[in-house]
This record gives sequence, structure tokens and C-alpha cells, in this order.
Amino acid sequence: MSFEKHRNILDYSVNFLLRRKGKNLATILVFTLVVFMLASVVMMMNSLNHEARETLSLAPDITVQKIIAGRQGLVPLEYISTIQSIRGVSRAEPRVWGYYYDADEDATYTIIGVQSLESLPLAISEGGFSGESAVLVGEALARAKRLNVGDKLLLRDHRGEYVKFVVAGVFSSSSALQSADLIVMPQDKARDFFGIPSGYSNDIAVYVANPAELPNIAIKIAQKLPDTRVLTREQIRETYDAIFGWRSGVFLASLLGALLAFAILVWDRASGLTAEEKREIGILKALGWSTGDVLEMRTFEGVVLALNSYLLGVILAYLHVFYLGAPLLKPVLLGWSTLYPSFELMPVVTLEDLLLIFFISVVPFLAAVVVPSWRASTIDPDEAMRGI
Amino acid sequence: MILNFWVISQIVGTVIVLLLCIYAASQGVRILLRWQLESASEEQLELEKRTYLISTLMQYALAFQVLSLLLFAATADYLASFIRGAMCAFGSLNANSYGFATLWVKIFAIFVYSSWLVINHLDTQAEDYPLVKLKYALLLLFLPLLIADAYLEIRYYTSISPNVITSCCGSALRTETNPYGFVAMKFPTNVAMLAFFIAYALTLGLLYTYLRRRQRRLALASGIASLAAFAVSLLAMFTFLSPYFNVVLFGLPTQHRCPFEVLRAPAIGYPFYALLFLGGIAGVLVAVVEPLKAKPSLRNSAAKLQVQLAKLALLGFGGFLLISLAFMLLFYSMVGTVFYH
Repeated sequence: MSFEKHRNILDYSVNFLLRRKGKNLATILVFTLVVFMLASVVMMMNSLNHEARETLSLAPDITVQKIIAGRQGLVPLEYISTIQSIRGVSRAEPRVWGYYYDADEDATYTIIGVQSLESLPLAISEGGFSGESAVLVGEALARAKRLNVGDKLLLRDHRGEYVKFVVAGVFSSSSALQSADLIVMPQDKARDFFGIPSGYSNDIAVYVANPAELPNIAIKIAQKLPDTRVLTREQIRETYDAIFGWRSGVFLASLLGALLAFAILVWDRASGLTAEEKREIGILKALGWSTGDVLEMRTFEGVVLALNSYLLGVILAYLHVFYLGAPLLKPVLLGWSTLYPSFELMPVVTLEDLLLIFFISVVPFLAAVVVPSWRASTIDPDEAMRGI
Repeated sequence: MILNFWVISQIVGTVIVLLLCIYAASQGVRILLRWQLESASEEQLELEKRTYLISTLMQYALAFQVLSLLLFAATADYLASFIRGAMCAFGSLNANSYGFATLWVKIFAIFVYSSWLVINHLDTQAEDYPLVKLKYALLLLFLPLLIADAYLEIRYYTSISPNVITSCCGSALRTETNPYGFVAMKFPTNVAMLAFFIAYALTLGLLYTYLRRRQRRLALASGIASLAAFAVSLLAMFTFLSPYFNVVLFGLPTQHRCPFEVLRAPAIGYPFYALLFLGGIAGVLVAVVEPLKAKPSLRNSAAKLQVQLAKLALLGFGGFLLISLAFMLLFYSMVGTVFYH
């Protein structure tokens, strides 16, 4: 019996809202915009975080870089034997890699030179890796440049001359970024292409058998080779996470003012009852509605408005981030978006994210309307119907 | 200090709840001082109107507090990736001594809000506002709790530094640095298991007998047993119970006794904990309502509510127990024993 009553009050609130479309439209519009902005940031941040983690699956346990005069330089290959002499290191390999700017596509690719394919955890979906000038390309890159297995790929090397490569295989990857910008070729070929002198490499990839020993080994390398910077995969991941978290935090902090303004707007709109609304509440009370009933009706109004705007905002944000590629936010949160080829953000949305967005948008809204709702529902019927 | 989306939202939400409650309490003071039911003065009428505002504010505060607890667990899980050495929510909460303290205060606050709302509900059922003084006196007593909640939470977030090495679930078993989480972790699992089943047998038995006999002492005993069962269930999740879920759902090693892991399977985790809170809160309220029956204008409504609460408590604890047993069975079918330690 009591459930039926609440349902009827809810019914009445929805009608009440629908009869005042114009007045409520502005609130819904602003509310949706607020949710949209917040949800876009959360979704984008999550997706980038996911992307960064996937990209890191390529990274070795420890990366050793040579530092010359405070800047990164080429590592002499003699360092490898020094590193390998440390107990617990299972293997140390030179890595040759670099960025390549493709003027036709206006995009930057990453070229990696490998000694053997085993060192890269890539799933080759088509073809294999054989021949002198064979290269592997990512699926998305192959699609963008319309490359098939057996096609020729012309790239300008460091001398400015075109070098002909043959696409020997295409790999797929769980990371959109890898699949969109990676070209894999034999190491000697890559060294020649970039003009890296033999006996040097960009950095050294170190693999450790027992992950528990990782920090100790990293410290030992840093002690034996004082002119290097030693990065563990965990450090890189934490740095990524901290940067994305911090950026989104700064973004939200700058939105807090807007959120406050929104709460004040809502407060103001909910406080300003029209004479017509007052009369309606007066009539309801004269008909036997209690203060509690009217208050419930006003609360339902707020909840219905909030839920609709929330859903609308979240859906729009989803479309904005994952279908349109977040054009409004990418420059802020990505930072290096102009360097990378365009890639699609992977849709990653969890229940916790939805809860987070709900909490930061709906809670302030409901808190702002509670006092005005109460004030409206305690109007005395006679006063209200007299139209004061 | 960690500045990110999760932390900022959480702090904003907590501050809003605190402001709502301070406002409600300030209104409550006026009612407490000026309330004269017999009077027909303008002021009394105004005060009666204000009671609606206060109960609405408190309903909002409870709803926000429940959300805030959910978000707190989710935030701790999320923060694990920033805090070196922390692999899950347990590790993040362990990063400093404020983490678990905040969690316990938040859980306690939900019990307190629910009790207040039940008292308020009964009060509005009666014509003569029999509980008005009690209600607003209690409201003032709650304020320190809420301030503590906000203080601990803010201290927790501001004292996290991303570089502190914290012990995560696995290693926490061996180290002793934090007084809050470890008491449970070091607790002998067999004793916890025994306590869990005894507490459940006792609580379910008492609630059932209460529903049959409706005696005063049974109601009080059910309330105390429910509180104990709630506490023992949390203890169980920190000791022997969580590995059943962690192994069956995620294939984690049995040493991983993290009670938050199950929330990563939201369709199981959230209803599971919701049932536990339902059981605990409804069970405790059975006892809270008992002394209120002394008021003549409340006798009927309170007795009716008490029966409903006892049924809800049975449902909550029964559901929690069934899900736990189901996962013990699943674990048994995978591992061949339920005594893995």
C-alpha cells in the first residue's frame, strides 16, 4: 500500500516536471554539460592509463640508458658484459629504436630493431619475419597506409635516401598505440637506417629471472655503471599513473569553481517558485497532501532531473571520448597528441568510474536543492492559494 | 598528498555531508531548546516544519555516506597503483595509520545514521512526537563522529606519499607495522572459522526464535548477536573467508587474504557486502527499537517495525552465509579441501 503511494507521488513529480519543460530544460542542459565534462575526463584518463599499461608490456624489466652531460646518449655495447656479470640477470640485450616522421601521413612512427622476434611479445597475425629488408608493421598502421604482406614500404633514412623495405608480416596488439605506430625490423638494418654507429645502441634491455631481486639488481647496475640511468618497469608505470592522475586532478580542481557555480544556480532556480507553482502546492495541501508528501514530490523531482542529466551526460561523454576521440580533451590530457598518429581510445569504463562521476555531480546537486525543496513544501495552503 | 580525481571527489563529498549534518544539528539545537508541543505559537509551528527539513537532510546524509563508503573502497583500490608496494586496496589503506581508521569510522557512521533514521521514522509515525528530544540530542552527539570521519579521511589522503613502500596483503602477513589491519590478519584462521559459524548459528537462531516468541530479552540478544556476527564476518573476510572468493574468482594464491578483492567482481562483491550490512544494521536496530516500545504512542508501530527488521536481518545474514558457503563449495571442488592453511 505504501509503495503504491510513493509510486503515485513519483508519477506526479514527473508530470510536474513535464509541464514546466522550459524552466527545467536549462537545469538539465547545464547539469548534462557538467556530467559530460567530468565523465569525459574520467573516461579519457582511464583509457589512457590502460593504453600506457599495455604499451609497457613491451618494456623490459630494467632499461639502462647512458647519460652524457645530463642528456641521454648512445650506450657502448661493452656495458652489456658488465651487466651480465651481475648475478641474477638472465639476459641483457642492446636495443636500437627511434622515431620516424612520415611526411605523407603527417604522423610519427616508432621503429624498433630486434635481434630476434622472441624479445617482443607481439602476436603476428599474418606472414612471418624473414629476409634482409623484411619489416613487420602493426595492424592499424597497415590499414592506414593500405599495406598488405609482400608490399613495398619506402622510408627515408638518416642520409635522406629512400630505403626499400618489404612488409613481411602484420602483427596485432592489445594496445591501439602499438598497433598504430610500430615498425619492427632487423637490428642491423635499423642501426644503418638511423645512422647509429656499430658498437652502440640506444639503451640496454635487462631481463631478470626473479622479480623479487629486481630492485637490488637495479641498484647494482647503477653502482657499477655510474654514468647510466636505470629505470625499472614498475617505476615507469608509477610515473605514468601519477602523471595521468595528477593531470586529471588539476582538471577537476579547476572545474570545482564551475561545480560550485552550478550548485548555486540550482539552488537559485529551485528557490524561485513561480506564483503558479506555489498555487499548485497550495492546492495539493488543501486536498490533503501532507508536508512530507509534497517534500517527497519535490525530492523526486530533483532525483528525476539528476538521473536523466547524469545518464545523458555519461552517454554523451562516452560518444565524445570513444567515438569522436575526445577532441575537446585530447590536447589537455594527452600532451603529445600531435606527435602520435591518430589512434582510437579503447573503451574502458568500470562500475567504479560511473560511481565516481555520480558522486561528484549528483551529490552536490541534491545537496543544493534540499533546502529550497523543503521551503517550497512547507508553504501554508491559504497563503499559497492567495497567490502571494 | 595525492591530487587526483578520486581523492578530490571523495573530499568534496565528505565536506558536503559534514555541512548538511552541521546545518541539521544547528536546526536541531533550536528544536531541543524551544520545543513545546502543547503550545500553538507561531514558533512551535515553525519548529514542526523544521523537523521535516532535518529528517530529509539526514536521509540524504545517509545515502551520501553509503556512496562515500563504496567510493572509499574503490579509491583505495585505485590508489594501489600509485603507492609503491601496494597491490590492492589493503595495501593502500595500510599506507598510513589513517586508512583503516577511516574505513572503520565510515562503517560505524552508517550504523549510526540508520539508527537515527529509524528513531526518526518511528517518531513521525506517532501524533505526539514522543522522541523529539532524544532525536535531536543524538544528532548533536553524532557530530563529533562525522568530524572525525572527515578529519581522518583528509589526513589519510594528505599523508599518503606515492613513494612510501607499503606492505601488501601477501607480505602483510609477515610484517608488523600497522595496528589496524593486522589484528585480524594475524588472527588464527581456525579460531576465526569457528567463531564465524558459531556467531551465525547463534544470530540466525536468536532472530528466528525472536520472530516466533517476540520476547524482550530475545530482541536485545538478537541485536547484540547481530553486531557480533557483523564484526566476526569482517574478521572472517580478513582471515579465512576472502581466499575462497579470491581463488575461485581470480585464481589468486590462498595467502592473498584481501577482503576488497571480491569487489573487482562487482556483480558478486557489492550484493555480497550489501547483504552483510543489511543483516548487521537491521539486526542491531531490532535491539535499538526495543526500549522505544515503552512509549505508549509508539507501541504498535515499533513492534511492527521490529518484526520487519528481524526478517530483514535474517535475509541479510542468511544470504551472506549462503554465498559464503557456495564459494567454500566451489573452492572445495577446485582444491579438494576447505582447510587450505
